[in-house]
Amino acid sequence: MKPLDDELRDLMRHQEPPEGFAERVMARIEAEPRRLTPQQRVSTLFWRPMLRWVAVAAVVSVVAVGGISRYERQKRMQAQAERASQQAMLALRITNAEIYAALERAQHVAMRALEVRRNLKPEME
Amino acid sequence: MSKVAEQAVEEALGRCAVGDRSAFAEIVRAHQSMVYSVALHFLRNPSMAEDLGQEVFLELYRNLSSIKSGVHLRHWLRKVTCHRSIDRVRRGHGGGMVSLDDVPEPATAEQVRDPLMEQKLWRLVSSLPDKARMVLILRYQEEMELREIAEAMEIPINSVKSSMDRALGLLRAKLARSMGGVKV
Repeated sequence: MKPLDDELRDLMRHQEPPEGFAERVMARIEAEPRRLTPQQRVSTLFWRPMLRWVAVAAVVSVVAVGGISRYERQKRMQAQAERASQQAMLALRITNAEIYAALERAQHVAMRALEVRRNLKPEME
Repeated sequence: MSKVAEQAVEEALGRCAVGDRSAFAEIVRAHQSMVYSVALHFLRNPSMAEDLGQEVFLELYRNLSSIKSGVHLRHWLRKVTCHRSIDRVRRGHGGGMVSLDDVPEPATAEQVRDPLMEQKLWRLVSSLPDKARMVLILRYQEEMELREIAEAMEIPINSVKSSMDRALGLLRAKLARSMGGVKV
């Protein structure tokens, strides 16, 4: 007599169902109303070659439009930055010239004051 | 299941996902013997086993979108077949032991077997509690590990182990008794 393990393995060997089992299952499925999940509905659409190409074209154009608009935005920002730096330079230059002129004026006033004092001194003596 | 067959099932799953019904028939054919055998060994009634098998595949068809791979499909089928079989017996529609002559012959190559011994063993297996019986079927028919059985039956692994030990002990004792003390 075989060990119990082997006896059980023999006893519970796979058995094929009666002929036509799969066909009967399919017949029951056919009898059911066709119910596609939303996921299946979407993937069924993409299964059609024409729609697949339309989808690919749509994705490519979205990517291209996105890329172009990003490039344009970057270009605009760069131009703005350049304009701002030029304005800052101009402002600095103007400020510099004004300070120089003010200094010159102050120097001129000081010189005149000195001259006046020098002229007044002999008269007082 | 061989690697090629596994690949064919994966492909069929992909085609099913887009509503190809003929691909579903391929999936049924690839797994029908496993599903039918679990149900038959548990219910011991060929027509009930076929009906249950058909219901399991119908349920699979309705839940196809949740199946992720061929391996997942096999686990799903084992789990659902095992639960539906136990449910059917608990609802009182199962069992009704059928004579060995009514059970169709297996498709595998015929080996030298003792029909009396088989009959006796089936009687003993059928007398086991539902859970222990299903554990034995999954272990010896499907060659599943204890961990896999625990997952399929959704019970703790310790419970699987104790059910199996108890069932085998019981079978050994009853067989030995019926054979006049011969150790098995």
